[in-house]
Amino acid sequence: MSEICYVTIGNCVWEKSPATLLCKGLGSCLAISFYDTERKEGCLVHVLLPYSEQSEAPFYYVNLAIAEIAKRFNSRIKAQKIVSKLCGGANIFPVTGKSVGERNIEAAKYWLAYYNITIVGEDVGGNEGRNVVFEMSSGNMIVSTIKRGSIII
Amino acid sequence: MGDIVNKLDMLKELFNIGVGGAATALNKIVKTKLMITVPDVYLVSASEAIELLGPAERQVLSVYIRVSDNFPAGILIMLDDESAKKLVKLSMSGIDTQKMDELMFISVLKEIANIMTSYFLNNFSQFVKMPLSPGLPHFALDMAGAIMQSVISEHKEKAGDLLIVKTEIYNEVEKIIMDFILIPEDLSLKLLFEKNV
Repeated sequence: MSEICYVTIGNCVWEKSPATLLCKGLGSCLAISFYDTERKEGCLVHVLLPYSEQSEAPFYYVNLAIAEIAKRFNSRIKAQKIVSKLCGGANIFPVTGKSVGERNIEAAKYWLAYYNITIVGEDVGGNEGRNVVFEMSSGNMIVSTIKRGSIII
Repeated sequence: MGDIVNKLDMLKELFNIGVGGAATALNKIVKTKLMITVPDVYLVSASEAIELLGPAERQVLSVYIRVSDNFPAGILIMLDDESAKKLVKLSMSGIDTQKMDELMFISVLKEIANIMTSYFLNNFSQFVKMPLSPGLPHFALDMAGAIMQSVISEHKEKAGDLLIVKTEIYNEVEKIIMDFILIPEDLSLKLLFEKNV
């Protein structure tokens, strides 16, 4: 069992196989994985909010995080085969209007499409908090919740 | 620097007075003496905030209430399963809580949180010199981290540190422990400090 690296809010961790990355307690936050299937490397980012113009902490925002990661992938690996998985964006407390979770999901789908990154798996929305484990060796994302147990996407 | 320390002390004191009201109200409902700890003020990043309440994956019951728009803030009441059952049992004396269905149980908890928050805001509003009213209570049973994080994202538009005031309301004999948390938005802090300094 390799070491597990914990990805906190507003952070992005790059790793190679056989590392394992973990996001704990995802509510309306999103965990977005980026994975190069040939080289078995990539990253997991834990974003809090959907949008910002510019910020010193790009990994807090969906749009800035995806832009930053797409840029890094292009310069580092020149891989065309980057696939992404999305998880989180729950609506734990019903709020009036569009919840932060929903807005995060929308923003992520929009910006991933913008940078031509394919979404190969997702477990988003709902009203439950999630824990996410991302395995670099297989590209699998293991999502667990209190009521539903674990699933692999 | 001294100025900031003064402001935080003031916030702590106001919060303490508010929570005093909330605890007294709860006292009357459950007819049991409850203690409150000295409040803690934290200036932390979002990821640190989640760790304030113990392990992120710990399962908790919580009620979240949004404070009226003229003083934007969130109030979060968090407690474990055992404490929640005890509280409901004590507050519904004469009724067999074993037979109570889940919806009823949640409803009682929400009402307790609502009453506590109303007393808290009532005390608090005398200092901010404007009427404050609680929004609807929302219940969730989930991971502590996910709950905290969702509340934070409701009250935060930018990255950077946020202020959290937290106290524990407890009774050692009955084994009730409840976290009472206030997350004021930047605008509220500005209002608070401008009116009182």
